[in-house]
Amino acid sequence: MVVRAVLGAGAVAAALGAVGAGISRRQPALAGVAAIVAFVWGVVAGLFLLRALPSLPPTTGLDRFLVILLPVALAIEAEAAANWISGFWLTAGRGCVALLAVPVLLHGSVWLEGETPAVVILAAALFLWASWEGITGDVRASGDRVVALMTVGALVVAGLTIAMAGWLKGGLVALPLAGALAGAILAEWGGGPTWRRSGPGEVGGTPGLPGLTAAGLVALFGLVVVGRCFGRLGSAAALLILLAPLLAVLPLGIGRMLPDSAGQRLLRSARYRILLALVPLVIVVIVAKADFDTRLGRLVGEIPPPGPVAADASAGADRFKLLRTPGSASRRARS
Amino acid sequence: MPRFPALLAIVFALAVGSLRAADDYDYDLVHSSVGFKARFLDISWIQGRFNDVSGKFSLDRQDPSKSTFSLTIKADSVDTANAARDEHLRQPDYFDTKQFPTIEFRSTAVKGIPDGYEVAGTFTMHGVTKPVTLTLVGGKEIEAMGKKRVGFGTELKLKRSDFNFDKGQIGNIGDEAIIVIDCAGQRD
Repeated sequence: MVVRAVLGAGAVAAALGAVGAGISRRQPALAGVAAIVAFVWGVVAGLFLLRALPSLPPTTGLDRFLVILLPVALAIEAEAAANWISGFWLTAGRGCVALLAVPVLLHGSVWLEGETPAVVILAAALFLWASWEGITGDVRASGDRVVALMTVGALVVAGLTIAMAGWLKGGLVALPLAGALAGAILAEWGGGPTWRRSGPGEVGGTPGLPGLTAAGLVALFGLVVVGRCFGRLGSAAALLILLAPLLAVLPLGIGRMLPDSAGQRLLRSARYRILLALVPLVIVVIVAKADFDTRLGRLVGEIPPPGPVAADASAGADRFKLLRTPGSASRRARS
Repeated sequence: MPRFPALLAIVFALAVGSLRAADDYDYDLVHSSVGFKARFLDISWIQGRFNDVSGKFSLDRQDPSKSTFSLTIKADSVDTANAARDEHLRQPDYFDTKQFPTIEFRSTAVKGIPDGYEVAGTFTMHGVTKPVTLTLVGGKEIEAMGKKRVGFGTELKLKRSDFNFDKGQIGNIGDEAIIVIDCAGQRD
């Protein structure tokens, strides 16, 4: 079901993205909006296939992330792509969303009953706003795809980590998001040469990329916050996951400040930046897997208990294989 | 005229007496338990309990309909004798204790029955409130260890799916859960 949801999300987003690119061949603004619409429908298809559509009205942090935070952020990015409102209002809109993101996600929970210092909420808001505004602006100017791709990777890692820490649904929801983002980016990639031929050099042939990158960053932020506050995602893992896309763009900024040299070329190379962003993600996955093996692996029967009991337990498991009912495999998969 | 204040005093005393006809008890955490069990793979039962519970009940033995019962369970205190499973149960796939920190029962109507009380009320869990009726068996007051004490026992069967629990997590652990409440109350 998970693989079907990820592939379904990616396929729907890629197909709609390609159709959108075809329709808006001579209008980059429309193409930017089409890329975001493709992402939205990819996410909806993926969540539907995963049977994880949010409940209405939203009652949990995950529901509020999917029903309120992400759609509002996408609406702002659609307006940015279409050039409907000025840059000042876009910045202000992103700032408002960033400021309200954490209170909306944690609404009605114990976290807002006095123990969460306002400074933490403000710091989180500042982080979201700065990364959203800064990276989107950079991608708009450079047409760089590495950040968007690393956001896909960070979403996958966030999902795996949240699931391995014990919140299966919270983790699995990340995967269709990543699938839809990857599909929309691929469609946008395919459409790039078309727009370059059409002329508008200022968008670097990638009119949908800034919006998709922003969508990925906001999705990653929301998922990490709910995973940290409602699941068992640790603070260090949360920070490393959020840091990964930034590590993919930071060398680019540093490289621009340096004179032309081998070092500058290295900093700007996509391969180096991908490697740099992958390091924290790989560390997070390794630690999460070790934690899963220690705690939940035994609980769900993936890891045999230690010591002499293991032999007995596996012998018992073999005996039980003969007694499995037709529905037991699906029940095991769901656990 | 001088009789009026005396009459007023008698009426006041009677009124206070009738108000005090109900006995107020505090939940005795030491001698009470709220447990639960649910089917595991439809072959056995998983049992657990909640360690942090508070409540009050007021018993009017002359007019049981004036009695009230309330119980508040801290969902975070779930204990199944397995720390990893308890952590798992606290997360949003199950109780989502950061979002829904308490499980509550509030009585709305009480009726006396031969062995105790039939209590209708609302049960709130996982952000969903449903009407339930509990049959409380017990209610006899005794005096022990310097306090007046009374105890009740009841069982409540419910479906997790009725309380918006994640349907994806209903399978290995059955939908139906049985909550077993054995509570003692005490007053001075």
